[in-house]
Amino acid sequence: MNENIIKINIAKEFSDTPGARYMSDGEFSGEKFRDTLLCKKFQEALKNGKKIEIDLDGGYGYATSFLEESFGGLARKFGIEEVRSILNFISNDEPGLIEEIESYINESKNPK
Amino acid sequence: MFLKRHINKKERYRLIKKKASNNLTGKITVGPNVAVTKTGDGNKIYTFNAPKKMSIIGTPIDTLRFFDEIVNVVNNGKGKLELYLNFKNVEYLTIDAIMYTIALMNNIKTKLNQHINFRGNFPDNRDAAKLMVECGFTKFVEANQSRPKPRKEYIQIVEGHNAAASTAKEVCDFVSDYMNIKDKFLYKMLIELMANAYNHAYDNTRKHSSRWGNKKWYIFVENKEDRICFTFLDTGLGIPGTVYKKIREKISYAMRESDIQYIISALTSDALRTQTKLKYRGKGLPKINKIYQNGDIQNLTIVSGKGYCGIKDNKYDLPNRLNGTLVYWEIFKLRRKET
Repeated sequence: MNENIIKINIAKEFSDTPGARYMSDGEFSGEKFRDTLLCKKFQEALKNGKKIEIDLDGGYGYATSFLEESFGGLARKFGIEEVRSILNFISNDEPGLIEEIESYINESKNPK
Repeated sequence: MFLKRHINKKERYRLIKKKASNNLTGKITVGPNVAVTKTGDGNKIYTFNAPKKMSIIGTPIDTLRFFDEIVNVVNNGKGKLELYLNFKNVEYLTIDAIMYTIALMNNIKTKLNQHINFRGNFPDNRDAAKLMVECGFTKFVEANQSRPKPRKEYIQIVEGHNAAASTAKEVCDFVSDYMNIKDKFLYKMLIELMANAYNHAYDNTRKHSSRWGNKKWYIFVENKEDRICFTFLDTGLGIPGTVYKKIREKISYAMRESDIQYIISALTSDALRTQTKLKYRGKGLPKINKIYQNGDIQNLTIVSGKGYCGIKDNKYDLPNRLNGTLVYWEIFKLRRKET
């Protein structure tokens, strides 16, 4: 077991039915995932020089708004390069998700 | 016969005590499909005659004209309104029209000093009447018809008000009973539609919202032999009403020149159309369009405002508007088996 990697399995640790963008949108939102789980792990990783491995498999699927608010929102908070350097993804169910998330991270700056 | 009331308790008590007079004093024809009848106490009963083919997807012009006449009477009416929806002669009926009828009735708020009652009947045509009952229409009205047991081939009309992950899950589980979908596009599509309806369809800062402020969406799913059919509806401002517009476009929109251009633009990601004007927003509709372009869904049809964006690239503006957004699509079973 690699102690330098923090693992997050969204389906098991958050929900297998992720919602939309904001908490006001409904249950299991990207905002809630980011603020209650992802940010804490990210700060821990930053502090201790670790990586985060995010497992996207096992759920019903991810709306674009969920992914953007989770990971794009994380990049808006901590910085694009910081997020890219720490996060890694596993997505065997939907391999295309990784590229999609990376685009949200890269485009998270300059919102207007 | 069915009935949908919108009155306060005090008025309800008064009406129960009062014996209504049914002396009809005359008939005034307002339009070809609307009849106005006066009762002895001066109230008016507006009867709206539904066209033989009631389908927003299939026969949008006649169907939306029928609904538009109801909206016009409600918007311009004063005092007590008795509205009768005459479905007697309907021979062909689709879910979208039934759904819009439900939404219309639900959305009408009771104005101060105004009461609005909906009454109506079911089609004489057996298939049309059966569909109207079995799809879940009677869950939303008081009806003489008994509520049938839900058929396993349907998810009866469900209403919701935000991005309900549980409903999206229920739909996906229903579909998986009949076919194997490897990709997870369906779940994300449902979440996006619900979230769009919740976030953008109903803007409480706008005047329009004061009447249509129910902030609900509706969904129906049907399993057929070779496909599964989905109908999703919200009765908000519609895509043309909510997308971000440049100044010239605002003038054009105010003059009601065209709605279809805004639907097409919102579906493609080449123009920033999210009303938030944030670059990282507005990805939901383009994602749905991409799912369609990939061939994961078929026969995608979107009707919003006066814009009709249908199958086989059939796109045009309608003479009457849909107050909201209707999204219909199918998933073919044979195609999914081959993949």
